[in-house]
Amino acid sequence: MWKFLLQRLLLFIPTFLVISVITFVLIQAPPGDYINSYATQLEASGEEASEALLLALRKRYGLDQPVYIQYVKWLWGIFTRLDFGHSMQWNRPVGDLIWDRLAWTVLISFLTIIFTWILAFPIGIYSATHQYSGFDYSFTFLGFVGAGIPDFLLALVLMWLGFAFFGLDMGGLFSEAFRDAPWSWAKFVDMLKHLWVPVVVLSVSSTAGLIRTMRANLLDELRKPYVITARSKGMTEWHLVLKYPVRVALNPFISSIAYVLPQLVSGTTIISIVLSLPTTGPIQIRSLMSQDMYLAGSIFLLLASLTILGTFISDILLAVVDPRIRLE
Amino acid sequence: MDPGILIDIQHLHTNFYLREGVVKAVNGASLTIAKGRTLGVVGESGCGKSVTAQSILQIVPRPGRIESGDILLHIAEGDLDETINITDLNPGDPLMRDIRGSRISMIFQEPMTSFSPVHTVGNQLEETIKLHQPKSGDEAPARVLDMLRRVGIANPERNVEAYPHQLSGGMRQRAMIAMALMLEPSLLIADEPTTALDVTTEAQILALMRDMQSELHMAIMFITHDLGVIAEMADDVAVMYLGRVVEKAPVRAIFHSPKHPYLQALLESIPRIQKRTGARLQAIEGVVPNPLDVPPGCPFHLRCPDFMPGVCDEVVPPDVTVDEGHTVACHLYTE
Repeated sequence: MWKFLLQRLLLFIPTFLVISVITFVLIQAPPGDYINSYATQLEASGEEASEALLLALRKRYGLDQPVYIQYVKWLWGIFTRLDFGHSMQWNRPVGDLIWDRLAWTVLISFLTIIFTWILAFPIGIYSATHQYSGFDYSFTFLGFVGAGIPDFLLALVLMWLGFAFFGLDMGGLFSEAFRDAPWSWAKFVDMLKHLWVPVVVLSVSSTAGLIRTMRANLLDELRKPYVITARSKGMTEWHLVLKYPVRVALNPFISSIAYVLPQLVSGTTIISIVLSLPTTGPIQIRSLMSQDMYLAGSIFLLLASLTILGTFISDILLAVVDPRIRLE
Repeated sequence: MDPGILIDIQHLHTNFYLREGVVKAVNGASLTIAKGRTLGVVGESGCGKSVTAQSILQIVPRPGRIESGDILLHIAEGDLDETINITDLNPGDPLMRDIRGSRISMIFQEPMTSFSPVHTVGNQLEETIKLHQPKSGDEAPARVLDMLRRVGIANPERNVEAYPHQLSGGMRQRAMIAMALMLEPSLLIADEPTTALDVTTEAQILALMRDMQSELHMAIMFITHDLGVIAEMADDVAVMYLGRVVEKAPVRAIFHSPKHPYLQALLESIPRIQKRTGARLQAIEGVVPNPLDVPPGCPFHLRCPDFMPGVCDEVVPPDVTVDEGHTVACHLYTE
C-alpha cells in the first residue's frame, strides 16, 4: 500500500514538468506577444507606440530572450520562490492575483461537489431500487431538463427572480456593504446568502448526470449474483442494498473525482462572468485575450496540477475501497 | 403432513411479467423434499428448476412473482411442531427473513460472483451468524474459523481475511458452502453448485456436500442438468420440463425404469462408451417451446414420439402413481 502511494507521488513530478512545458508552448503558440497587443491597444487609443518603448518593455519583461530561457526562468521562480512571474497587464506579481481567486474557486467547486453528491446519491439509489416507479420517471425527466438547461441561463433567471421578487442583488459573493469590510459573522452570513446561487447553478447539470450514473451503476450491480446471495442469507433489503451493491457502485464515482475537480474549475468560468464572482475564470479569459503569458500560463499550470491532485486522491480512495485494485 | 417431509410444494405457479407477455417459469409444479435426503431436480435450461428454488426462499428476482400454490415448510424441533406456508408470507416478512439463511440456505453456480468482491470472506460468513443471532457477539469469528476448517479450507486463519478473488474456484465454493451451513439449516438448496468447476474439483465438492449432509442431517435440493451428478448425489429425483414436474421417483427407478417419454429421450441422449463408434449422438426432436407461448395440454406433446392427438394437446396430464414413490405426469399411464 505504501509503495503504491509513493509510486503515485513520484509520478507527480514528471507529469508536472511535462504539463508545464506543454502549457508554456501553448501560451507561446499564438503569433505575437503581450507587447504587440499592448501596442495595438495604444494605437487604438490614439497614442503612438514608438519602437524604442516597445523594445524597452520587451527587455524589461525578458521577452527578448529565447523561449527556453524564459521557460527555465519561470519554472525556477516557481520552484525556488513560488514566484509565478509578473502579470504585464495588471503590473503585479501573478501570485498576488491568483491565490485569492484560486481559493474562492476551490471553495465553490468543493461545495458544489458536496451538494451534488448529497442530492445525487439518495436519488440515484432510490431510482435504481424503484426502477420505473413514478419517482424514478419524475427524476429521469427532471434530470434531462437539468442537463439540458445551459447553466448561464439558469444563473441569469435566478438572478432575475431574486431581483424581481425579493429585491436581492445576487451577483458577486458579498453585498455592497460587506465587500471591503473585514471578516465578521454578518459578513459570513452575507456570503452564504450569495454563495448558494453559483453552487446551485453549477450543481444542476452534474447532479443530473450523477443521478443517471448512480442509477445505471446500481441497476447493473443489483442484478449480480452476490445480491441474491445476500438476500438468501436473510438480510433486510435496505441493509443489503447499502452494504453490497451501493458499495460496489461507488467505485466509478471515486474515479470521477479526478476530472470533477478541473471540470468544475473551468466550468465556473462562464458562471463567474455572469455572476461576477472573484474566481480564476474571468481573469483567465482576459489574460488569454491580452496574451498576458505568465498569468495565463500560471492559471493553466495550477488547473493541470489540480487534475493531477484529483487523480492522486481518487487513486488512493479507489485503493482503499476496492481490494482488487490494491493488489495489482 | 407426513412427519418425514420437510418441504411440500403443491401446484406452484411463479410468473415473470415482462413487456412481451407473461412467462410461466413455474407452471403448476409439485414436489416434496424429505428430511435428511437429497432431492435431485433435473431439467434443461429454462425448465423452471432454479425459479422453483428461488420460490422456496421467496427471492424470485423482479419482475417475477409467486402467483399461486403452496410451499409448506415443516418445522419440528423439540416441542415445536408447526407447518408454515411460505407462499402466505411476503418476501420482506421478518419470519421469511428468519427462515432464509438459518432454516433454508442456498449455494450458487458461480462462487466468484456470488460473493461480494469488496468484502472479505470472513466478513460475509460472520454476517450470516450476526443476522440471525445478534447476541452471538464474540464467538462469531471462532465459529467462522471452525466452519471453514470443517469444509476443508486450508489455513483458515489466513483465508478468513482473504477477498474472494484471492481464492481458487474450489476454495470459493467451499467457502460458499461454509457460509450456507453456518447455522446448520434443515435444507440446503444447491443450484448447479459444480457447473463452474472442473471435474476434479467437482468430485471434491460433491464429496464434501455428502459429508456435511451426514454430519448435519440436513436435506439437500440439488439442482442440475447433469444426469451423472444426479446418479451420484440424489436419493430422489424430480424431472422438470417447461415449469412442470413430469416425473418423480427414487433415483434407481429414474435410471432403471423411466416412464415419461421426455425422461426416456433424455436418457437416450447420453453418449455411451460401449456404443459403436461413428454413431450419431441421439438428440430429442424439436426445440423447447417459447416460454411466452406454452402449448396447451402436456408441455412435451410437440416433441413426444408417443403423441396422442386430441388427448395430449388438450388435457394437462395428472400425476399417476406407477410404483411406490414413483409418479409420472403422462397420458400413456392414465387409466
